[in-house]
Amino acid sequence: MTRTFLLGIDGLPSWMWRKFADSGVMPYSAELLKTGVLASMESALPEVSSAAWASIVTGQDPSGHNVYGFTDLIDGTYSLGFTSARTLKAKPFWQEDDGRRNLIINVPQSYPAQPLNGALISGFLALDLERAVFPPENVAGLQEMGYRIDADMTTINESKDLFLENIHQVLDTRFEAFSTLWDAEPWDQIMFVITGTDRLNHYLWEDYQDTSSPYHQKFLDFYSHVDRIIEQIMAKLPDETDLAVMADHGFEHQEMSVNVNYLLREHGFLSLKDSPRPAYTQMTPQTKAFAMDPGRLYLHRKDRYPHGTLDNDAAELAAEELTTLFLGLEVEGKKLVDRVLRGRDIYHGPFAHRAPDLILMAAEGIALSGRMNLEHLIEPVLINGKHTFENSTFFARGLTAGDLPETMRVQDVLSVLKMEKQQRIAA
Amino acid sequence: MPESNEQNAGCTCWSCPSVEFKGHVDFRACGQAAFSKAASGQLVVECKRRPDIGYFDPMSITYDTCPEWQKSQYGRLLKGMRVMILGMDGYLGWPLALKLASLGCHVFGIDNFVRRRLVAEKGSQSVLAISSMEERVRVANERLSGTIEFQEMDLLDRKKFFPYMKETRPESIIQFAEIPSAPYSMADVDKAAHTIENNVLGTLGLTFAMRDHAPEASLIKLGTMGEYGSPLTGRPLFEGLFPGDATLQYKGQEWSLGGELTPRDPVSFYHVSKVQGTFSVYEACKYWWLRSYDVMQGVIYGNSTPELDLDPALNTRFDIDEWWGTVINRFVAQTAIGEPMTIYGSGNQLRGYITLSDAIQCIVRLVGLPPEPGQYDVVNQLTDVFSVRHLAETVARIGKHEFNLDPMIQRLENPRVEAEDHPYEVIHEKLENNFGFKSESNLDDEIRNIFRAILEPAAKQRIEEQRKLLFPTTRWSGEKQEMKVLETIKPAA
Repeated sequence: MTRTFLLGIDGLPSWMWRKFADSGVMPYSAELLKTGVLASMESALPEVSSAAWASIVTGQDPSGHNVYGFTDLIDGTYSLGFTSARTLKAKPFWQEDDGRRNLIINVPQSYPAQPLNGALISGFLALDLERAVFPPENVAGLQEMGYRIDADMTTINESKDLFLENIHQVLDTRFEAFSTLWDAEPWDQIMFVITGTDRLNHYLWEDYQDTSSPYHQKFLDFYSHVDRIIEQIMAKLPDETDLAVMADHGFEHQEMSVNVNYLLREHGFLSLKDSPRPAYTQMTPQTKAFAMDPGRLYLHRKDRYPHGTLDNDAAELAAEELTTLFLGLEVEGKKLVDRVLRGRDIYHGPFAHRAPDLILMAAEGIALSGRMNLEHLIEPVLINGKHTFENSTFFARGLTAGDLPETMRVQDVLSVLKMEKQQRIAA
Repeated sequence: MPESNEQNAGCTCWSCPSVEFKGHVDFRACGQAAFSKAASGQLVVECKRRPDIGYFDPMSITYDTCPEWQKSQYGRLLKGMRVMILGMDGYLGWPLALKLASLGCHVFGIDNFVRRRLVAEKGSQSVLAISSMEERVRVANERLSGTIEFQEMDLLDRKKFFPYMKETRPESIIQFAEIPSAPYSMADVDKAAHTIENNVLGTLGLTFAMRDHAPEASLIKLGTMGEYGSPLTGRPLFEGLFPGDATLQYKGQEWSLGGELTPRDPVSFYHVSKVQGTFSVYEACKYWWLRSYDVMQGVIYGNSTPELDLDPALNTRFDIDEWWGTVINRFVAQTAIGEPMTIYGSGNQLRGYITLSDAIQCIVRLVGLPPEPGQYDVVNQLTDVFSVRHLAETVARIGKHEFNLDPMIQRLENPRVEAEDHPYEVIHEKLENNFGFKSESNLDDEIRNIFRAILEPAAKQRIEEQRKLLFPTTRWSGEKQEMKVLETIKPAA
């Protein structure tokens, strides 16, 4: 039986990996890339990590696995819920009852840890270590080595140096924890995800672009650190192992974060009661539409929400109005949206009824926020890098471009690697 | 507007003790989580009662939309709410257990029976005979809809108490397990030390047990109006914390006092122990994000609640001696057996008072509207301010005209160190305004209730047996001579 190693590098654009490999920032990657095919992959719709990683590990799009973002309203209410492994309604590959033994480290959307054949340490958004680990006996050892699920992001408010020190340290500890398990446990499938790259890209993208910045080299240094991890994995991994590397989305510079709910209110689609703490619970029946991160628009349908008023015809009209509105909107002379997709056109899975009605595909440099704090149209944020739907990374050792679909998408990863349940059974 | 008994309908899960804080999340950058309650970002919690709804924003669900918070006589309470009463065998603890059980709560009580022991050591006894705890619990569980469980345990026995806290997972904790007598604490050094040790260390240990095993539970800690003293300047007795517009002027400069603890000026070593408890709880809320209401209770009196009245086996204790009795209860007992009511000094001392049944209502309302994590707040729990002389005159009037008794009043040398003539302006607005409390009893009716109960032959006999113990002997000065009678008064008709 072939063993499989999946390496996740959160937020790594394919073009950037190629560039860093070629320029000497990531020399071991350069060697690795010679052994297979590197493709540019499409992220999930919307291009948010929770949805995209869920697609990678289940082979489903959001309407198949039920994760459309980090947040969602609890069904039949306006209460804001946060997605987790409990929200995930499709089985990740390590939950298949196929006798394979798994080591799953830091995969997003796997908290709280569910029992599996093997060992698991959840990735973000894990809310405590105790319930992020299976089997629970492994918790004490991880605590002892100072394992952290995520970097301490509050450090970025203090200094970039502290932040960088923190993400390096978290990566080292994570790899140490993984190596300990790898040495000790039998395995058939490994998935190990590095997330510091996403954090770095969000906060230091401006330094990457500005070669004169004192943090430009430090940005590159983190990727060199990732490359040394790749080296260590390569050195230890048996040659006959199937190896794939993937990211969940691409990245680009962020010029501004625009609050979509602010715009919806300004244009009469969103109506809120007066409240010191604006929230979805404060929406009045006059509300026709509201937004959630990133660029998800929901129509306030009467058959979906307690105070919703839109019937199908009114919803159709509102969808057309919103499409026209957002395609034409500019903020500070900058176009906000390139495309507006209709949920009914793109989602066909068993959880399509929970999907957003519209997806706004942000224009270059624009992040579309769904926050309900409507103080600012352009939100004051430290973030200067943002996700892209295009240009995520997929690499598979031993495969060629001909082995990949014409358009490689996150939900195709398992099938390309022949890890989908049916294919494995057939094999 | 909520109904009058629905003050907590609009509360959110953020103050619900069934909700576990999980972290703060910044969704603008891929759901990065921070775990300090002081961090910024979107709050994320999990409901221990409804894990099926996953992780959520606690501000987005209110009690009136949550199926776990159900309407009760005194606002909403969690279905089968798990309430721990420390000191459940006491005068206040037992009727509270009955009330909560009648409202469907699951009550976990502990007591070390120190009160029964100390009363017996004094040679006195409860005027109304009280059953063993085993019998009380048995009858209560037969008659009431909720459940009461009891374990004999000393709060100071931390090896037992901490696991008990972990096992029972209370959602609300009522700290009544304190020795409640000012004169006992002033009688000698051993009794002072006993009071301080039991009260101070008991509450301190409790805060650590909560930190480790029940950090989401709300703590209702019984303090006393005596913590404040009675400032001769006439400064109002605010509810524990200065109001927002309070200022301090000194040498031409002005500072805001808003939100700071008001001064405490305890009037005995018992009250010192209560002040220390206040600080322990205040600090624990600050350090560990515990949440607490500190209840500055006026002098309590009475013997009746609807649940106590169900069965004599459910009686709560009713003490009248100089150490363990409270003033109104003692006055009625003295009158019942033809002894003069003993007032100290002028009898003009002003104090806050509340009936037993109103006090129970207040505590239930506090249980139903828990503070937010990290919040320490204070309520002044009283309904009226009376002078001691007024109380004696009221007891005399009712005793004479309604029970055909011959009341007398005796003014004694004051054994305490206290001002006898002083201003006394108590602010007590929160319970009514924020918690929906409405008094359901009054002084006259409660005095009548007491007379009816203790004029029964068996009760009267139990007063007779401790007749000598009604007269004060404990001087704050430590001197041993008998208190002199200053004046004997026959109240006007």
